[in-house]
Amino acid sequence: MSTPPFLIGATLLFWGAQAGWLWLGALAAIVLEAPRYAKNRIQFTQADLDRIWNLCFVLLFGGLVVAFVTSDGAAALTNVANNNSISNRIDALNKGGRSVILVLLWLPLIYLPIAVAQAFSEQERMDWSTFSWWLRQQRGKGTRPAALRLDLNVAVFRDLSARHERRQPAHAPLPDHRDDSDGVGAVEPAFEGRFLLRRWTTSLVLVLATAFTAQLSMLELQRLMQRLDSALIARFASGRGFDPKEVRTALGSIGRMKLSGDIVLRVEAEGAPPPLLREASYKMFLSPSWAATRHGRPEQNFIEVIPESDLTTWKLMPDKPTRKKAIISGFLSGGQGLLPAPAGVAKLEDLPAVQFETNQLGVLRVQEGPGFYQTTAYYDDGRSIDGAPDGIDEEVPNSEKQTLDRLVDELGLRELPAAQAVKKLNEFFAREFRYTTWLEERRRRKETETPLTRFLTRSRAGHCEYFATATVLMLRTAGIPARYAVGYSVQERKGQEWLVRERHAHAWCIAWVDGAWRDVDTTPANWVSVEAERSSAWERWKDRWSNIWFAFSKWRWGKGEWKEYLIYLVIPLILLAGWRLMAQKQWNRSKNSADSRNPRVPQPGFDSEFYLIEKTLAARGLERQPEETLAAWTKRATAEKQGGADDLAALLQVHYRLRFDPGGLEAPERERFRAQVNDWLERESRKQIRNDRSDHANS
Amino acid sequence: MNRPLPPREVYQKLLANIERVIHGQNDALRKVLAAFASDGHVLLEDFPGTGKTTLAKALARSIDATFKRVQFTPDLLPSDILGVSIYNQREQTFQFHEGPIFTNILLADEINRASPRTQSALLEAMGESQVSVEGERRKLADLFFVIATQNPVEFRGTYPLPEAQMDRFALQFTLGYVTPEDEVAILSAQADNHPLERISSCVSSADIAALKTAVRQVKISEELKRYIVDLTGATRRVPGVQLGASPRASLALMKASQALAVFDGMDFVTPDHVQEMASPVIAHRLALEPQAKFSGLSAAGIVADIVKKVPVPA
Repeated sequence: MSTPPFLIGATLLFWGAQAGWLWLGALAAIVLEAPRYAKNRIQFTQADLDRIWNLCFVLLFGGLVVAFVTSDGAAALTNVANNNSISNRIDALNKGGRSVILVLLWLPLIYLPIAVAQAFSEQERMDWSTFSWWLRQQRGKGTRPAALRLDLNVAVFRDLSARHERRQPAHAPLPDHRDDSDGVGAVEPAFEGRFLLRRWTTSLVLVLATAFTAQLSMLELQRLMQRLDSALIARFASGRGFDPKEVRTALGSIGRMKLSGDIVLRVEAEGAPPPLLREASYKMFLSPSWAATRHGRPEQNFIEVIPESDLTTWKLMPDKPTRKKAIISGFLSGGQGLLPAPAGVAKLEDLPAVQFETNQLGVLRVQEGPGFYQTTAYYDDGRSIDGAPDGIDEEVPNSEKQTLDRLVDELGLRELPAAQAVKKLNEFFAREFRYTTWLEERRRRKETETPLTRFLTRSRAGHCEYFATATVLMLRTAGIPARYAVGYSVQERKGQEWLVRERHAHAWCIAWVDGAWRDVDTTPANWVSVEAERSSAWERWKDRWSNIWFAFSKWRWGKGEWKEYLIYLVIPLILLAGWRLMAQKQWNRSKNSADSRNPRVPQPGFDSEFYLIEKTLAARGLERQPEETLAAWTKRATAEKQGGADDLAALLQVHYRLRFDPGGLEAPERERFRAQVNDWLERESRKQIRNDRSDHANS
Repeated sequence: MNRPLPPREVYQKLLANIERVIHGQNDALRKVLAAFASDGHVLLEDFPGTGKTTLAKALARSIDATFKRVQFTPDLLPSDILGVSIYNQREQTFQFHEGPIFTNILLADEINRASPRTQSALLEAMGESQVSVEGERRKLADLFFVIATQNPVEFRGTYPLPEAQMDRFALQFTLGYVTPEDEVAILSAQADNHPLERISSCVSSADIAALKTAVRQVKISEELKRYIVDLTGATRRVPGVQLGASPRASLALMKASQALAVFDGMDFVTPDHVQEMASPVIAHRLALEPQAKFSGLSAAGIVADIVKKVPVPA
């Protein structure tokens, strides 16, 4: 299969015009079309072709890097590393795409060496193994499949035309589009015109359809990958989310509660970390559950937060000054979930979410975001995003009312100001209650007793949910608005960061004190150690795995710092590859020369004077080819009337004996030969001088 | 006869004698005689009517030797070549009737028309100079030379010789068509009777034996041995060649070169001898890949390329 005349040239010209390097395209076109006129061909060995292909490969790789760097791909990537906002990521994606387009644009230049090699090569086809490392390995084994040869120019041409089609799918048929199916563009006699047109049209439609489908599927694939990506990343991370609408407590359940030691959050803070990270709060107690609010009330409706211009900063309370900050990292399953935040959070930074919302109950919800986040939360005491208290925040269920009234009266909470009352309640729980996760079986005698009443009046032992619920309801009874809050307690320090495990999940109360919601945690402080006792022996290993996964996620979501150095690592790698290539070539060469001059083969008679004759004649333009024997050469010399032919034939016979007769020459013969050759040389030089003189005289 | 002739003279006499019959085929005669003198066998691949048979007959007549010809056909059996035992009723024993292979010079005409089984019967004889018939080993004549001819393999009704059997032939070459002048000479020569009738033996078996001994005694330098090995070795690395030349090829190339040296009156081999014999000795042993054949490569072309590429000792 051969390309029609000038098709490649025309294609390259078209490429040059499209790419804006017309002169470059013209140059390449001339080089590739030149073999039509120049008859000189170069004999490339397979090793040469391999090397040229390697060069193309390095060029391609280098081209990718250069394109990436010059089209600000590197900067975009570094930006992503610094600030993983959606806009940055889209930017990086676009720039990455642009570099690929750029490389596609350079492709004809990148593959020019191998195309030129083919154009000027004596062989019309190249072996497939040139292009595959694996096939190259097979080459020596003799088991290689029947050689499939490739006419590269046809392939390159096809690539070109297909690419241009893709670049400009909306355009009218392109001039270089005549050959896109299998070598249609070979030689077409005129009478095949109609058939050709049909084939031509079919290929055009096929290419258009392919390009269109490919583009569609690429988009779809990208979407799928994004979804899959965030779902996968959170899959290995543990952590049950809270439901912002309702949480079912374990009030009244029997037996031990089991929570794992899996790390769900990591917190970094200067100084003390926020003690509690709230995920949700609830207003209505419907034993044994807490519901966000009464059905149909607007508080639990989420409102979208509008990000700042960098798309990763979310100002929840723009006018609130903050003094503290904490970096919180964790996973979002499928890119969705609640964000744990310290009380009084006012601003979040570095949260690359697409949709982020909050509600009156202080819930921060990511609707569409990354599978992993590492966000900086700015917070301070005082005001929070939670809505002001209303009637529901003071409701107490009737079933508990009696007990609560009695206890509140006993403590005299009603008369105290809110802050005092909270303090007193804290002391009350600390003094009279203890923490346990062992829930005893309810006694039969008092069927009507609620779990909470039993906790408050008789057992006086329970877990955090008991304490939190009791606190909320007692405060409400005392006339202080309060809500039930869930989240995590930050308490385990490991090096620079604080680890939050699943078993650190906690419930507490937020109370409206002095015009702001404040955390009131009445659970005895020893609950932490009680929980820690139950950590399993596996925890150390699980932690290690968690660390690895965490680091990977961090890198995956562009949070690692070393990513920006990656680019600078690639350049030395390319240099190294290029150097290896050149070094290899030298090695090959030296090996070859060692082969041809095998020292084991004796070469007698290498001091023969006949070589002087050869040199003399070579100086007159009668050089002996490496494959030409001396006899053939002598004959040629005689035919071209150089030197005394008869003498030469006789001398050559002696030289041959000297060289190839293992017996060699006797000493006198050798002397005679030397003398004869010297005679010949002298004669020739005299002749030469004479000729020169006569030439001189003539001129 | 008393003293055997000098080897070169034997060659020249043979050549002159055969040239009386075969016109304008000097190169081919030189090659045939080189194979003959170096204990090799010859495969001629040529079109019908180019003088293969005449060449073989002329050679046989020039020597005082027996000549037999077997026309290979698809139904030819091994026993047709080797011979067969027939029960003699009078003597009540089996008597072996020698086949045509028991001769000095055998012309195996159109060898690729016979079935592979028959081909291999002949080729065993060629390789080992003996035949096994009915479990009995029988030695062939000391002077045993096979000239096989075959039609170009693309012709219809042929069984191409397998590579292993091609390897048994020392040389393969074509006679080709002669120049118009020579062809005219052929016509004139046949005016009265066939020129074959006119020639008679000019050398004795002893002369031939002496020639063969002389060929074996021709010296060859280590450097040229290496050159021969380089040439055959190169065929094993050429892309497009499935099977390169064997060490047997190297051996055959050396022997043929030695014969040429004797013909030229030398007692050592020169690079020219090696180059001259490279193509007829090596080319037919190469098995090309189908792809290479279709792309126009030929074995002879590849060998010519190799000869051009490998630097010759000078």
